Amino acid sequence: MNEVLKSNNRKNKFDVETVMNQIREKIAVQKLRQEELRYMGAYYYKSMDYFREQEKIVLFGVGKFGALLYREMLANGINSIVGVCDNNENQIGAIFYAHQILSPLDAVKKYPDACFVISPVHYENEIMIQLAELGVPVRQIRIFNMKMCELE
Amino acid sequence: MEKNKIAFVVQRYGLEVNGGAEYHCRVLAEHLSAKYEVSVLTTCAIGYCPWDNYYNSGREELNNVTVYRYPVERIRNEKLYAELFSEMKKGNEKIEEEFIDEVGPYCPSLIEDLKWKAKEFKAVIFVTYLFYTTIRGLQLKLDNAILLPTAHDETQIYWSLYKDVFRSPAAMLYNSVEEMNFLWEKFGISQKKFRLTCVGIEIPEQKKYNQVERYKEYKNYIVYVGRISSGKNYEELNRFFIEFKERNPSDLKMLVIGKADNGMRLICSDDIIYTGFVSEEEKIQIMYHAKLLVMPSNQESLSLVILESMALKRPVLVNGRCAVLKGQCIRSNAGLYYTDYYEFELCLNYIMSHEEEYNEMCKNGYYFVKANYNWDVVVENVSALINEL
Repeated sequence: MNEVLKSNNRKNKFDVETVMNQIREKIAVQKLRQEELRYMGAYYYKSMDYFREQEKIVLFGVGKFGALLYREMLANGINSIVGVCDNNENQIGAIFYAHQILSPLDAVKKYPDACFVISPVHYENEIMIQLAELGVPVRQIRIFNMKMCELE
Repeated sequence: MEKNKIAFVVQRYGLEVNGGAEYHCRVLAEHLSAKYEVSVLTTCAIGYCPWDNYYNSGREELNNVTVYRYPVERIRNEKLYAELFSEMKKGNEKIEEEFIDEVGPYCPSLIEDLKWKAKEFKAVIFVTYLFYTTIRGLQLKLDNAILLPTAHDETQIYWSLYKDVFRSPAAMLYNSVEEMNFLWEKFGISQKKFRLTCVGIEIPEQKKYNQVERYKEYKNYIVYVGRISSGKNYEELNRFFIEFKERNPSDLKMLVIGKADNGMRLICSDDIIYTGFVSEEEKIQIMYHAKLLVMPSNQESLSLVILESMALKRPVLVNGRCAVLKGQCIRSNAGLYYTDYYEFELCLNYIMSHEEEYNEMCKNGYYFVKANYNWDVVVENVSALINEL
């Protein structure tokens, strides 16, 4: 007979799940929301929640902000990144976290229904227009500004 | 009386090797050497990227264990590896053989030797499911093979090539209930012989430890121990603690023990003190004087530092999104878990303000570790499985 781990059966006043239920109840009663938080609050969490809902994500930009955003997404359990693209022709074809970097045109052709997330901080509007001109519906384009969540 | 022989097969082995699974293999081999004649079949590599030969090939005695090292015959080509990885992700099964050789450490002489030596051993324990040494070794279909996978929910485990890896061994050694349940569900291997808990910790002597001189000024702090890296989800803890201090002003600090990965971007604060690398002795001293240990990691197959904290009678605050950490927390009844900022804040405040419950958590953790993770228990556990083969 295989033994499983011996749980702690000591009789005492403390029980993890009882306390956790009290804590969850307190949060619900007080209606505490992540959006109120000062440092990482609204923008970061709202963005991550939005990304989590997407079936396919293409990350636009493979520079330092792109790398940072990629890692943040993974840290938040977002595994739906299907591709990456960049305007820098020298980067196209190279590997970025196991993804081959595509040109924006190829990325749009390959993943027409993906959500395109723009990471470069200084060219976000130009990139948004570029993607729109390539045929990506605006509702499928999202800018993630590192400065808004103190990640940069 | 002559001892039975057992062998470990692992991708890297040695005092200088960094890596949780490799450390796990070494301490388990060393503790089993009291009961068995233990051999380790490994490569000459020290790092996994690119698996270059660091150690001399041949035989070496290390802490009562006989280590046989075989040279890596081809180092990993990162570009090719990335391309193959990408193809594997797409489900391209035609490149599986090429991928296995490229994932490395490519060491056919080890496998060839194992083919002839395996019968000498009562058991051959393969450590970590991911690499060439385990994949090719298990392809030999040894009837005395045990797999200690150190697995968690990650990309590769969904690839078809790993189905055989999990179905081939005669028995399994799991690190946690959560790992076991995940693998049973994923591969339907619940019929295999198995044991849970295959690593122990040295229970620190129950005494009062002096604080490290340079940290004596900090009377009220929590502690993080581990790599300061994205892989450990440290950035989240960084942000959460700063937010906590904004909303809950006090003299509470966070001492952070460990080395930061290159390129980590951290938010600075006077309330967070980075100690850098400290000796094992200093680590214990700092942990002993902490109120609790916090572990923000999302993916762990087992956290030894959590067990160490419990053994020192210090509660833990862990990331509840990691099934293994949450499970350890609930089973031990020695800490709390959070899944977002507010839970982090309320849990931390609870632990800091409920003295009676705090003391109960301290005791619970100690007894939990003593019952499950002391080396005598672990060695008996693993030996029982070996005897069943």
